[in-house]
Amino acid sequence: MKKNFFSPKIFLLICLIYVISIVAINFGFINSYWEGILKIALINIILVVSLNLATGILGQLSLAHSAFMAIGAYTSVMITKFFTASGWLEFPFAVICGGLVAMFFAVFISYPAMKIPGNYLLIITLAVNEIVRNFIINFNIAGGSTGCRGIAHYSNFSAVYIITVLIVGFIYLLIHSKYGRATICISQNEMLTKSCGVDTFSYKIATFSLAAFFAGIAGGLFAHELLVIEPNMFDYTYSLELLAMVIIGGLGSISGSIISAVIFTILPYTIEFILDIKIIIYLLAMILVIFYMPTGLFSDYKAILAAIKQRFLKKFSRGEKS
Amino acid sequence: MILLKIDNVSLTLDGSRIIRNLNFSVPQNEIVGLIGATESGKSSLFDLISGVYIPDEGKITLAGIDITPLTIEKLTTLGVARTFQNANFFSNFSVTDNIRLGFHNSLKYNLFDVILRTQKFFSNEKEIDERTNELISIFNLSDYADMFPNDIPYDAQCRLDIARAVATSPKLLLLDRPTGGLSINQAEEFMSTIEMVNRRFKTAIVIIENDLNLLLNICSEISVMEYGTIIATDNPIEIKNNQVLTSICLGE
Repeated sequence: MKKNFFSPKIFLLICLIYVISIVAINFGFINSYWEGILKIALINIILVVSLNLATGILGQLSLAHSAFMAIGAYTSVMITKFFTASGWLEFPFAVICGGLVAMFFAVFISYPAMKIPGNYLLIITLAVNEIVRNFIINFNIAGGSTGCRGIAHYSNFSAVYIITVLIVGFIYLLIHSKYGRATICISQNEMLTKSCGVDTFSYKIATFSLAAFFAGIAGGLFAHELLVIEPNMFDYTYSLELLAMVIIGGLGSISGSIISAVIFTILPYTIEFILDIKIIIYLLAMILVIFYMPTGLFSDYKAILAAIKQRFLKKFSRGEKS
Repeated sequence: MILLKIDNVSLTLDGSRIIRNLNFSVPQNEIVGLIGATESGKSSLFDLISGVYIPDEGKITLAGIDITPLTIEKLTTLGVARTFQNANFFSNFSVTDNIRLGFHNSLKYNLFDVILRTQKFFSNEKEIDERTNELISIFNLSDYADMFPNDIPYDAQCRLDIARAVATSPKLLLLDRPTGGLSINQAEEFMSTIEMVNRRFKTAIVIIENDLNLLLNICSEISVMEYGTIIATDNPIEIKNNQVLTSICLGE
């Protein structure tokens, strides 16, 4: 059995959140509109944590994440539309295939990109994003610019939740091992890391492609939740949003990415007017964070929890006094 | 027995011949000095041995294996470790974690062990923790174990550098101006640290130094380099007494 985290406390917390959510959904406390938003939040968690793997851990700024998501989405949709098997069979198969195709594509572009000295990956990934989107439009993939409708609604809450937990757990375990440590060192001092015997080129490609694999899986889940997809959903502004979420949550911090993804998914729906100017607010917030709190707003969740606890205790003791 | 043998290697970079028909050998378990004027190609020779550059011609063998075309990481796995001029480290990692990375190739678990958190994973990590702590105490870094390298004194940073190189279990250790920036006392102390490494870990060591006096006590032989080639190899006393060679080293 996969032990996701060391402490039984976190495992209990994960199960508790699941049980509360399922009960709330089935008994109508959370209507289907908010259930959909929760699922999107979980999918964004996968995207932000996997982008953090490529950006925060490996140190390669990537704007191609929504392109990998698009590849995953369209691949999985083409599979579920082509086959007429039961959902239990074709959905996992389609989602995994979506991830694998995204991963192969990432290997294909990162092999030459990593050979170029200097920080050109940002521009290369921006170009990749646009190439993928235009490819879908121009080659009329699954409907092209008119979009793809009538996707089967396979993404139920349990499936999305479990897949999210598995992916985040996998990334957490990977980071806390020799692989994660070596990858972080590559971003700091590549020559010295090579001198410690680490094959930095292979590590860079592997990490970048793994992040793309998870983005592809998230794309498959996304498509089977929204039921309608079109290429303009996956343009570079979505990549920018994800990058902003990573930076605001904290580069290299998984807990920061989770909190950031949830807040930035739910926030626009609670404050309606934000939806239109979302990208401007995100980018402004990202710039402010880089200047004033470069480690991220939510990276030190222990400190945040301790601060909340202190506030609560202060209030409590003030109440007692009066 | 000869550990490292360099046969007639040459290297041209940016149009200039940096290494010309160089022949060099390092006996096993010995400490060898390498001196010469600045820009005579000493660091470039280290670059050739450690895999940063590949020679245009010639052959390099390590314990009989041809290592000429190999990459830096492959050479580290085969037992060639190298430090750079000015202590080099990972600034966002503590001293302990810096040394721990040197043990990367000693960790023998794979991805399955990582995900399933098998017994092999935990025992490997524990073993490396112990070996890291052992190295920390050997190199007198216990006071700085949890600090960041930028906050510790310069001589401790130099010891950290050599500790990380020793962690890769090298057969051959290349030290590029290890005492640069140290006071005379610290430099002499560092020389005895280097001698300890040679004795304890049975590592052959090549030291590039500008100060011949530091090398007198610990090197079994010293080679003099000039314009990209080795012009003399002899025991330290002979080199010191040779006026021509010492004036070359001083750049006159």
